Amino acid sequence: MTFNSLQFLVFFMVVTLWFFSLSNQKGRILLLLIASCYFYMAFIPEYILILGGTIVIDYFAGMLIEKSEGRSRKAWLIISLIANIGVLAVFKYYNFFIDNINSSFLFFGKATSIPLLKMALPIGLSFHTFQAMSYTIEVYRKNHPAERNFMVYALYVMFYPQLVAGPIERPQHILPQLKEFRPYDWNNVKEGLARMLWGFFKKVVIADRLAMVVDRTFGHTQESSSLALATGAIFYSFQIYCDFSGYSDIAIGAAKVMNVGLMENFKEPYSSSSLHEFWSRWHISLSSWFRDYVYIPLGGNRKGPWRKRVNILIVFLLSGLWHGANWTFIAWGLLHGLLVILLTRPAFSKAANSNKTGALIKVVINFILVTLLWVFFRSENIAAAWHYIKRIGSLQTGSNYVGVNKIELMFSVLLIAIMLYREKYLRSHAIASNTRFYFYFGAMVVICYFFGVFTENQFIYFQF
Amino acid sequence: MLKRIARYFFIVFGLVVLWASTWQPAMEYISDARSKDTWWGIYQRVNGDLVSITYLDNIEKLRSIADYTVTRPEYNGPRKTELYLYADSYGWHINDTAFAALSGFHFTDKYFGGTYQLDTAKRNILILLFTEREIQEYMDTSIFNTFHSASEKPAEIAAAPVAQHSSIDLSWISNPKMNTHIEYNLFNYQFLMPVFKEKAEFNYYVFKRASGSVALSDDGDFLFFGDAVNTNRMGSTYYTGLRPDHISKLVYNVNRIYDHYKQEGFREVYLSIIPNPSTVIQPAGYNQLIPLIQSSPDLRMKTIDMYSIFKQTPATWFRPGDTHWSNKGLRSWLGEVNSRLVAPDQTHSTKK
Repeated sequence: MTFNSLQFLVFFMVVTLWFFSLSNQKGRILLLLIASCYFYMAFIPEYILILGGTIVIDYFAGMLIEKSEGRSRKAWLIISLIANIGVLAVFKYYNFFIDNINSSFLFFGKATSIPLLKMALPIGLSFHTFQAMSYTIEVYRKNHPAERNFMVYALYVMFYPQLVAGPIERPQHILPQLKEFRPYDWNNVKEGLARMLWGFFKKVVIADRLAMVVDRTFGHTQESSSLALATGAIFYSFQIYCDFSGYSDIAIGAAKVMNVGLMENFKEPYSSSSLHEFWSRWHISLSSWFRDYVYIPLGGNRKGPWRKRVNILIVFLLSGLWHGANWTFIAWGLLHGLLVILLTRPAFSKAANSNKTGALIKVVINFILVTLLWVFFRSENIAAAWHYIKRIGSLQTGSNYVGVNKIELMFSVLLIAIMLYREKYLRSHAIASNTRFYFYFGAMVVICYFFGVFTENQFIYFQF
Repeated sequence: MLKRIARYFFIVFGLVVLWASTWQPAMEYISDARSKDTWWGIYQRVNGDLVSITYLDNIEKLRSIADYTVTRPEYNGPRKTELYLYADSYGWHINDTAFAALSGFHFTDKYFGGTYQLDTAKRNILILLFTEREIQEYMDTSIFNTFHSASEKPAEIAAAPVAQHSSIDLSWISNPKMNTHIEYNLFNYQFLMPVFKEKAEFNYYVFKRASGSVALSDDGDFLFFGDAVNTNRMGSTYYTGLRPDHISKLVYNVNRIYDHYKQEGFREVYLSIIPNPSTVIQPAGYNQLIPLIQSSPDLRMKTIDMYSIFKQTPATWFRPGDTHWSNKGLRSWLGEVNSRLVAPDQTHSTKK
């Protein structure tokens, strides 16, 4: 079930009220586990077996890693990683790989058709497999003991607020919270609900409204003017931000209501003055995952400047692949990697001075870069992305229609401005006064309903 | 104490809502009970299906009540034709009085399926009436399983693998209608309609658009299914390019269906594709799905071509706030059908 559905609202009410009716943590864990199973099975029930299978493997692998030393310790870790990466490889990358092999043979004049698998990608597969891998790696590194209680471990992977689109948690942060009985806290409930409402606002009022413009411009590249295409690209930058960070806000808020703190996933990414900074503010739980489990083990920046550059490229290539089995994601990842390497060289770092105007110019330039790279992320293929960018750059005339009327276009810009202001200057979601909370709650419900664009748009990151 | 009672009340209430919205028999019971009620009753969808989806009942020019009237055509010849119509909701308002030369009329709703028992002494004619937006979904051989002879089990059914149900059926958990059902159970009440209509009219007047899955035509005079004018999904809608093999695959399936029903004993089998309203009213960028199918040299099934007729005076054939045709559209189609019914037996011709 998606967060922006009525089913979730009823589900959340039942689970939360039931959660606080239970007087011991064992009962709460069981409730959350059952609720999480239901939440996941509401997409495609059968895929719970795949998730269950990897949970069982990683649970036992964790204990065996803890018990073992030397080679066998490493062997158990490798078995766990192979199980997780294997599931990803089969469900996410097999068809992409085979499709490219078939195309290559066809290119060289040999028709071959290795059969493709006809099955849907399990929702949120990349998220929960990465969270599961972080557990066995941390146990292997002796940063966290293996979890003995199977239900607690299963809940670590399946905790419904972050099960299908993160944040990708670490065991040392989340497991102690899941095991501890924490009494009902009205302040946490208020803060969690306020944050959830902000997430809903970003999703249904902003992201889904911007989607109308984005869908139109990306669907009519040929006849749209450069101005319309640039508007579509800029709106996509905010659409994907509001969509994904909106999801994270709902996830963090829902967990907060139940006294569980999830890690922050976004910190004003578009106020970054470099791509390097952008990646420390965008999808933080994934960036830090790659930093901790790929970049640093590869040697990080400890083995000389060239090795560092290669490591950066590897990380960004993997990051692109993580998002999806498509050349557009690979190109998006590699371009980010190349630009991070190029633009962190001292000559570029000194390009702008440190005064306010210079800093603002850097932020604007960085935003334009990020926006152009998002075009690869959004397009159906690399040729379409390149065509889109070329048409922006060539200042073409054409239709300025962007799928909505001028009033809604201006309204969308106003909403983006409100969102940016709120996230920069009014970051806290804690509301001390009950009266103010009730007013805020009521107002946000009315605003979300009245200005919400209720379509069947899923969250963009669900596909990953 | 009061808080505790309220908490348990909302837990039970929420569970009941989830359960009832999941379980089809419960939904049927609720729907039946509520249809007899007035104040708590359901929102009366009388002004057109798309008007109802968008709650734009107060917009005069979009209101389009179904006013279908069919009259018996004058015909004095012999009545030896059995007409079988396999159609969706486009066929709901059609009965035997609409046709000439019939000895019998048999309607099969494609959502529920049905059987036939042909009288070989008669001229048996089958018309497959498909709407454009569903042709890609329905134009495959699964039709053999929903429309087949009463006496003999068709080969397709016999050959079809029997679904293996596990002892625990979990499909209810992912019921695709879950949210629609919850909305119906929690919000579809007459007394809440003013709120919904306020929002719909705000979007209509200020943003010049309809809500949700419905799109407003460029001139603002018609409502369309959003998916029908979606330009964003390759191959699945009508304003995006068609894949190279798309038409050939569709024609291949149409031919298989044609061969099958000819073998079954139907003397004539017709395909009639009713264009999406947007196809004829807003043709710029249309991907030509219907003309490409109908003009395919490989197509063996005869067609009743409404696209060519409708595109001449587009605005009159459809109801402005509904996915269905107007009375004029229906009568035009009946006219085309009747011209074939009274025509001499065309058993040996293969194409229109």
